[in-house]
Amino acid sequence: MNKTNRQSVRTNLEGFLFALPWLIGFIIFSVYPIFMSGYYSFTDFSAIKDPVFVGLENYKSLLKDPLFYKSLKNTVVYVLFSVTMGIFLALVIATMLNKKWKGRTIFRAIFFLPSVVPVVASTMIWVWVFDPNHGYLNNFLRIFGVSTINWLGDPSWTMASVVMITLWGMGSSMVIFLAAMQDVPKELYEAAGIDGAGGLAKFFSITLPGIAHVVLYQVILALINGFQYFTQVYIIIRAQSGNISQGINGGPRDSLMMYPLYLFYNAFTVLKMGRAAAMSWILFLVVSFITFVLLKVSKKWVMNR
Amino acid sequence: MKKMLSLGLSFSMAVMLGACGAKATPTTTSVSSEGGTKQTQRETVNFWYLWGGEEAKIIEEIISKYNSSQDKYEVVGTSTPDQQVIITAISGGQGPDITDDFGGSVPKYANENIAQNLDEYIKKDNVDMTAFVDAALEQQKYEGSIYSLPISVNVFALYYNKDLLDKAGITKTPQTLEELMQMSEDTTLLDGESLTQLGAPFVPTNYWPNIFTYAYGSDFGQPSNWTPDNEGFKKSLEFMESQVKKFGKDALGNFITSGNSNLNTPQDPFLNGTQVFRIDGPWLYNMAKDAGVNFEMMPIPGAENVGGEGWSTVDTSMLYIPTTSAHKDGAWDFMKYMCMGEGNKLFCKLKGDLPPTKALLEDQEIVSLSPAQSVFSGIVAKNNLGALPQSLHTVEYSKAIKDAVETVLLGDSTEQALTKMKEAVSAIK
Repeated sequence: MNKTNRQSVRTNLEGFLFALPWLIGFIIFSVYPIFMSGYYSFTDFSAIKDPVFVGLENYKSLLKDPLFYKSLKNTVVYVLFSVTMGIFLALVIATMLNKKWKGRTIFRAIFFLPSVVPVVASTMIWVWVFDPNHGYLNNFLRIFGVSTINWLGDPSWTMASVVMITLWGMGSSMVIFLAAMQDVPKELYEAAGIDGAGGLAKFFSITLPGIAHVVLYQVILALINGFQYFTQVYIIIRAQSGNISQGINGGPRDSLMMYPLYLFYNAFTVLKMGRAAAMSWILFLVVSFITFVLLKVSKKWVMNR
Repeated sequence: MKKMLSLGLSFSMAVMLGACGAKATPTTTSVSSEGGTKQTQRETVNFWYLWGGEEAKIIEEIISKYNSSQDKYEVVGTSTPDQQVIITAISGGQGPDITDDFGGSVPKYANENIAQNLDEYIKKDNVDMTAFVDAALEQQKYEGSIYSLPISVNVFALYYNKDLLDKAGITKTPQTLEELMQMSEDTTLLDGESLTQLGAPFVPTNYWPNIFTYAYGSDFGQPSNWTPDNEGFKKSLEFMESQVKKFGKDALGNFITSGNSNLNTPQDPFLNGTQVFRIDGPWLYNMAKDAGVNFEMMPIPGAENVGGEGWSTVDTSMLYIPTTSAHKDGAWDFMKYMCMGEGNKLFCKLKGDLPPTKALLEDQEIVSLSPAQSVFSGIVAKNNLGALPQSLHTVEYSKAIKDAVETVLLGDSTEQALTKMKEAVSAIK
């Protein structure tokens, strides 16, 4: 080994040594639990007694469980609406705030503010806003003669309510779109203007292709977050039962039983950790598949930069 | 370089192994006797409890009284207000010698070999288990054996707003469940599409259905034989169905949803004077007093053909000895003190909880603590108490019951709700 090679090995080893504490943490707290959850998904495990290998039993029992399908359906519907509407709204608002007009910085702050409010606090406020008798939303709608809506107690309104909560917090996506839009070369707009392009044409032909990679990133992120939607529904359901129920339920007719909530119910309420681990692997496969399809399809509409 | 690498690895391994091997506490404590001349070796008993804040101070006071009452054991208390932490520590063999939890956890802890079977200890000390209120003791059992002792019980009473009853021209309190239901209906006020006043104790939704079931003389079965479609629960659902039909599912649903999410706040319907009858625990007493509500409490009456009063569900707080405890004899001695002896009296006096033993329920020092205390003590003493069958699937069973009540409130018939409930219950395993 010559001197240069020895120096290179030494540098690599030193680098490895510096990274070692993180690597150990990563192996213990991430890699090991991931592999163990895969193993537990094939066992009868309560987190206390030793796991007993049961093969595919957890997966089979889930496929026969109506609440599993209900929770999956609820989550897919939620993801569909919250992602499409959230991205659309964030794009529209970012476009508006990208124009030069007086007071736009104040509006940028206003739209971004909800995303910095802690999720527990904001959900509690929404429970209050949605209160059928004393809530601000119904009080406001009554001015227009709209009858009282039981937003969180009527299964036909619960999904709309949680999507609304998500849309309220789309400020972070909006800011990212705004930053991406400001990165699009101004010369393109000037050239398009000289060619006689209008606002809409500029948006669809310049802005959208220019930020497509960011849109894709935001869609994937929103999708993953959507499939992990838990805290808000957990708080809503606890609040609806006066915070006194043992365990949890799924809201009216289980309309708020989201997939992660049912996973939590299996893991921590009825202590079926093996079943919960199987659910987490199914969720992982579903999200991976959708992300894979999105990435494949995106090649047609996302420019490589 | 090699040296640096091996040092780094050794350090990392040492930290990890050191953390795994750490012992929680010493096993014996040296304590000076009163005169300060004689040293006695006491066995240390670690007691981790869920209480915190002011309540933890009370527990420490009782522990201190216990420690000075004998010279064999030294109980060391630690406030650990997280069940998950305690269970994780026990499963890792690093847990306490004795700890507390709720009666509903007994089947799970017994089945998972977390809680020590106490049958041998009870037999050895010839403990009179009939001293406990029957329903409270029942919660400590799993498959016929006792795994914990109750330290306090929790029952429910009927609160009623006197002003609202006066306004409705009702001068007497309900003597039967049927009278309660009739008065509830008579005092419910509908203004257009909205309820302005609820008569029935439908808020909170969690308590009334099971209590009505017991007041009808029914129950939800035994661990080996669940009876979700029992007559009492069916009649309870029929009562709610009749109210839904009379006042409309939207009006009733809006009021109940709002009431449940505003429990114990200024918008709580009982506290803001828009709920006539309320089934709730002792904690509501001070809140209603502070809110200026003109109210009284009474035991919940039974149905005409059942009679009696003081029908209620019962929950218990309990103490158990983990199977991993290294000082089980000391833990058992402390458990007896806390659940049956002077310690329990002190606990209930200082904390205002209801005692689990029949003798203490009649103790004047306990009964005279507050007007609420005497009503609730009387309810426990009447022993018309019920609870869901103690099994590993009680939580799922409880969810099926709640779902049935909810679907009736959403407009389903009692028959439809019971059919769905039976399907859900039969799928539980």
